Amino acid sequence: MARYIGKRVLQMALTLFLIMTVLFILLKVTPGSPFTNPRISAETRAILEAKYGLDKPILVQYVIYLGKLAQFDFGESIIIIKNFPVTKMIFEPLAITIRLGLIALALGTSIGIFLGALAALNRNKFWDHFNTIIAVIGVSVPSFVIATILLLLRKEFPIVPIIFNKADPAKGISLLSEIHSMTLPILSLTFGVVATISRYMRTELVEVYNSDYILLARAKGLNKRQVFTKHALRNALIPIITVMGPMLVALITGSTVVERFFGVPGLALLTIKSINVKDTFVTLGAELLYSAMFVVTMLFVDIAYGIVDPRIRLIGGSKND
Amino acid sequence: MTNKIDAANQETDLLSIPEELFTFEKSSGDAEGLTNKPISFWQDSMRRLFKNYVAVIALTIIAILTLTSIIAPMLSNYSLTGRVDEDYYKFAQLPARVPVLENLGIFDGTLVKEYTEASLAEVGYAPDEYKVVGTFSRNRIEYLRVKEYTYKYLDIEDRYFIFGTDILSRDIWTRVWYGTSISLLIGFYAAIIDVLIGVIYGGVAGYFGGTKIDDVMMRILEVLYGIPSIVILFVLFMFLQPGIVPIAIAIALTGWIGVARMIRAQFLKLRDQEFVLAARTLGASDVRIIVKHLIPNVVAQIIVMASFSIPSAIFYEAFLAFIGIGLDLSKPSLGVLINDAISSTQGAMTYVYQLVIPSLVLSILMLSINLLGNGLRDALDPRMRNN
Repeated sequence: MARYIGKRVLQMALTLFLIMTVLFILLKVTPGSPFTNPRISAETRAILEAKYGLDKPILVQYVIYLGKLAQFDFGESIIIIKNFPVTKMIFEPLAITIRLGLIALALGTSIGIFLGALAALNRNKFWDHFNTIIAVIGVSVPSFVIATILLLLRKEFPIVPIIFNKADPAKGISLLSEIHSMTLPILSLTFGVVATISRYMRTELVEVYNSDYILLARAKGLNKRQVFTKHALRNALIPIITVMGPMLVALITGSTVVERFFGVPGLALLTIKSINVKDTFVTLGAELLYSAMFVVTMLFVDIAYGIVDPRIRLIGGSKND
Repeated sequence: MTNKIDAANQETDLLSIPEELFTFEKSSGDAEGLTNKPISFWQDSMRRLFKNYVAVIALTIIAILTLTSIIAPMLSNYSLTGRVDEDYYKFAQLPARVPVLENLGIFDGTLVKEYTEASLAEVGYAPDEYKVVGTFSRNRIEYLRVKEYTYKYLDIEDRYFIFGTDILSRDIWTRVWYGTSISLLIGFYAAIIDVLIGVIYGGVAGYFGGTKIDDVMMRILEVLYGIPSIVILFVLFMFLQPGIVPIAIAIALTGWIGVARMIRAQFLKLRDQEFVLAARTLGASDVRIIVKHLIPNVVAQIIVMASFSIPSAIFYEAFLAFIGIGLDLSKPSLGVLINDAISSTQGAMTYVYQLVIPSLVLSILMLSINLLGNGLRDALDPRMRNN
């Protein structure tokens, strides 16, 4: 196990290093610089570029950046907030994005498990068909369409706030009111989670109910409720736990649409903004963070597989087969 | 006991029938042979597919949408970007109006607008040009919900715009179908490209499974898999010129990894089977074994994979259009149209049809392709079916 984790961590570091290198080169090779602006004269631009070290050869810039990265310094923003360290700049949007993702995940998973169980216990009845419909809509209707529908509904029934309200203790805005103001973004993200989780839950529960140990439990004289809570539910939850990791990453990287639609100042919004103004280090920092979250979560998921379900052997590279 | 007696009775009955009532029939050839015409794997699969009524409906809807997306812009009197009339101010944001349906109260060329008593008087409707359908109050001001017979009000009752017009007085019908064809094209191109790359990569890795080649190829794949697709897309779009093919390539580049993994797993399973051994014994080359023996055995899975990759590519494209990277307005896909409608209507309920129509077409398209994909999977590869 330890050997496997060690191998994976090494691989992870290599992946991140490669991503960083490729991103760095691509971002540097793309035409235009942060100072490509008709109002900035060629001389001023040269001075500015020299000031930020953008006139040096790419390789030199790369080595400098590597040195900074080794000290967990992601460089400085040039345009969005002048001379502001990227590390600090990314932190707040990331917290918002993660909060949004986590709440949507928690809410969606609970509803999904409930609906999935309901469907599995009432096979080929109303709840089962309802579940199927939700699942199909979940994969077919783009999130921005769902967001639009929610927005229109909100227009008719103005019960939740629509403008993002950043938590700020200094102004007396609590975290709770920030979450309250994120109701619509959370709901739009939740829908997809519910669709996926309920589908998984149903499949797993049906499979579990067909297994011998459920038959044994029934034969021993446990009633249906005991069988469900003590045996069926527990075993069916294993795969759900393992899909939650990738799901969170998908929510964090996939919240782009929702962030843009509802104006939530999260990481995705910052990334898009930085790409548009060519604030290279911000883009680089944000994308590296995305990649790091993705890779780390994948590692945790693979380890979690082995812990929750000992039948899955990790050693020997079973992942590839 | 009684059964035995009955059977015995029957036998004697049969024997007691006079011989002249029987005629001799020539027995039809080989009793051991197959009596029915054998059906191939594909015929069998298609039979299974067409028994699945959901898949058949989905296929029909896809066919109708595809045909309409090709024919409708051709037959339309209006162009993609041109204004429908010289008097463009008057012809902007017209509601949908369809000849027969208008009598049923849908697509009847009406808009529901909100006025106060005073502002309603200012507009100066003739009595038959509007109808008050309700009242509501917002911020302690009383508003009227007024149904406006827009075509009558503007004196253009002889004109019909099936899906209405947008803020720049362009015909939405033409634009939506043009957009559908663009979205479909991107979906098909992306699916073809990612299947092609995936099959070649996964095929080679799987065929040489367990060797150094496979090991290196899988390591590369793992590194690539570690990059979130949004990062790849962002970076690619800084380089590529917006266009149908570049977008399809960008989307395919994030999608081929799944195909490659699946093909590799299948190849690993197949290459140790007897028919491959037989082919090798007969002196077939590696390329011949891969192309002639292994690929035909995974065609079913490839088709299923491709059928799921089309909607995901369409979805991705719409997503990219939505966040503002991707196709420009000269070649609007459905995603671009939706994005355009969101920004031009500013979420106003009155003009919401401009947003709803492309969204609905996109959703129906995605739904149908997904359902057809499910049907194909069940028909081609019953083992993959999950209950």
